[in-house]
Amino acid sequence: MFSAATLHRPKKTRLRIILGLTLFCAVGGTPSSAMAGAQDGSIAVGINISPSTLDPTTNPSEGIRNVTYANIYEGLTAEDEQGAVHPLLAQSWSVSPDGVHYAFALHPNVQFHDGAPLTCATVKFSLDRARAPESLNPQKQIFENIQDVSCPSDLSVSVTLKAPHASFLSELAWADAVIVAPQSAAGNAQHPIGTGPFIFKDWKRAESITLKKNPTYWGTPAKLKTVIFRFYTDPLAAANALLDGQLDAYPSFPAPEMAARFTQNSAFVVKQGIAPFKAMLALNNRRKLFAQPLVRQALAYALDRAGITEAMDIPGALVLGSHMSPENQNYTDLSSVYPYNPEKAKALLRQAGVEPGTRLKLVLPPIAYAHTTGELVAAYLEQVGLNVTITQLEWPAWLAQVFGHHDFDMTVIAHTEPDDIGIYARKDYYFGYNNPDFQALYAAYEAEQDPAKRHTLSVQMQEKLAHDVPNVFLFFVPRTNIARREVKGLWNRLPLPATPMSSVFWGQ
Amino acid sequence: MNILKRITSDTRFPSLGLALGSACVLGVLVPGAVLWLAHLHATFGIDIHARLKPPTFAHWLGTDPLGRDTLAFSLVGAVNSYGISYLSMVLALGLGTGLGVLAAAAGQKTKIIANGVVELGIAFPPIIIAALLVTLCGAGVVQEICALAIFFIPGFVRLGQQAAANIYAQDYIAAARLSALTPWRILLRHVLPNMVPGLLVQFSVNVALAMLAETGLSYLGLGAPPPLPELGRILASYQVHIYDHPHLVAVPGVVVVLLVLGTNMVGDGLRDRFARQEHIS
Repeated sequence: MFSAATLHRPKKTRLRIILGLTLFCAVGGTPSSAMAGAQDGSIAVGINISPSTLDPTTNPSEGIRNVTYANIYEGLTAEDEQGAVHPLLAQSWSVSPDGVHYAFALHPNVQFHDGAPLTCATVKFSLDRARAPESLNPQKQIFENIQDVSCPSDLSVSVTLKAPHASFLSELAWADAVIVAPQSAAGNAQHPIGTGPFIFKDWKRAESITLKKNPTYWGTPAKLKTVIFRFYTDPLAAANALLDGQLDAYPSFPAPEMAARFTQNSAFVVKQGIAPFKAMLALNNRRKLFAQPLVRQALAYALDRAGITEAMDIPGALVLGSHMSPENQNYTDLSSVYPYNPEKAKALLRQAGVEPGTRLKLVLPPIAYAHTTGELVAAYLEQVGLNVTITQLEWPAWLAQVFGHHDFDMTVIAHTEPDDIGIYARKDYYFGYNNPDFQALYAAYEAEQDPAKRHTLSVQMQEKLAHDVPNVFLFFVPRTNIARREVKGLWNRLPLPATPMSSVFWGQ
Repeated sequence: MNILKRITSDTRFPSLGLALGSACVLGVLVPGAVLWLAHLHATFGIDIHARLKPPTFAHWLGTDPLGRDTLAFSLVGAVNSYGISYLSMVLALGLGTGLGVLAAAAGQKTKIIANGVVELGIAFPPIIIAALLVTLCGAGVVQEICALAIFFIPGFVRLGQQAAANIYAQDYIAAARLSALTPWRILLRHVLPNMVPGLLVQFSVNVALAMLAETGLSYLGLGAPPPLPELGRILASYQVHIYDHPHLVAVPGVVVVLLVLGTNMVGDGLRDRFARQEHIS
């Protein structure tokens, strides 16, 4: 009736190989011998976010900063572990009493990795490039306040601001303000050239970036010969890479749930680190719905932020009520302004005329905290009658869609810049918060030099945001820093996103 | 002849595999479907403050990292994953067999086109097809079904073509032609019905393979977006607890094994039954 041919079994082997390979790749690559780095002065460091370009002056990705800042690129100033501002490429400076004129004296004998010398012309080029109308700098507002940059001599720079800006020196330490050279700036996205203690060597996209020691570094030379940054999006793969010796350190480990595994293992040291971290449900204030304060407040009442914070499963995690994390000296606890109250949320939504079943799009970047939080946000909003559609994006797509085109309703993202409350004074910023009262407060804060008055103004700004909820502020989590016992000199406290490697060495 | 009758009421060849396989699949899917309907518009019982609880009478296998019932959530995920695999195979069966039979019935040109489709399909693994579709159209159930179907179409084209060609070579087809039956009538009355047993076996074996592929896709985040639970993504989200709560990973894992194994056993059982019936009649 039907032939034997119809009974022929399908070729499963090929599919099995494909699936096998897929699972293999998902779990981790080839193992390598542990501790090989101690002998040849190399170290392998795990990083969560694979950068898509290597130029921090044109792209806000944290991945770029984790690899390049303080290793390849340097700024005029730098911050130490406690966040205090120190001289770097500028060995000294003076500020006029009105807070508008800055005179920097550059370090002599500083060379870029391609041999170009650092002069005032280089600094002028970098600052002018960052404040040019076509500049893509993620923190352009720092540079837009510059009136003029001039060069009294080769090694002195004079900067005039449009208005006094008391945070200027610490903002010059940000990765967005690193000094780049005219002849190499355009190529930095692919082949970064800076003045730092490490030289860019090799980049395997989405896999690893290799840096080697800069033998002619102008300052204290690096202790390691080679640094390999490897990228992991999968927390289990990251854990396995540490356990099988493929990695020596993971400064911001993505799965704190698994930290206990390393605490019990004498080959590793686990430390709780601090870095600015402000996770939030960012709302597109340009959307008609979120332009209404009532709706934003309803969302704040609808989310059980204590629950979301608990779900992060990290000791030391805190609920945030405003855009400031607890390591900041101006931090004030505002987490109880909108306690969890779904009934009140429903009432506010009704009052604002929002139909039950209104559909909202939540786009998520590819990182563990965002995926967990996103799923919870969808669940909590469903309870107050809002329907959430989740889209998970890769970093380049997320950056383009959310940061670039402002094409989103809501997203979950952590801001990791220090002292960046000023982004709420930028009406062109991705979440589009435009509030003249806040802008006036921020202008007063930056015009003020007196620390006590600045503190008062900072608290007022935090309170304004906490009540107005331009974004629903969620939580702060400490960093989980895991490294082999012999790895010394890693920064545990980080004032800004970076992985400074020049102080790291293999000890006993 | 009634194919259902051939499978169900034929007591000459009792098959343990068929019974066990059906039990595995139905044992997962029936309670899963009940839960699926109950949770159609709910958040699957997320309750952070009851996260990672050990088994209780209310939660037989405890709760997961977001406080959901681990077993219930995995069973609902199983219904979604199985449904997606099943629908994708229905699509692949329809398109693939249709093209194969046409190729066997029609001339050389159709054969060349059919072979081209087969070669093209084989060149792309499902992961690549899925990644492409997700990049072009975003993640979603439809994209996932299409990605899986595209990968399995070539197999059905080949099978359909071979089976139809064999039937067309039989004497009774020649007899039908001599009786001046139209080609369509021959195809519908004589060719297709005789292909059904073979296709059914291939279908159930492929559903098991598609289930594995679906789990792989959703594990890699190429499946449907959350909150819709799928076994692969459930597995991926539980795996960070592999050291402190290892049973969490085991639950969706065992469910995958039961479904794949069960479906395979059903396929094998059907094949044996048809083969023996064939042998005797």
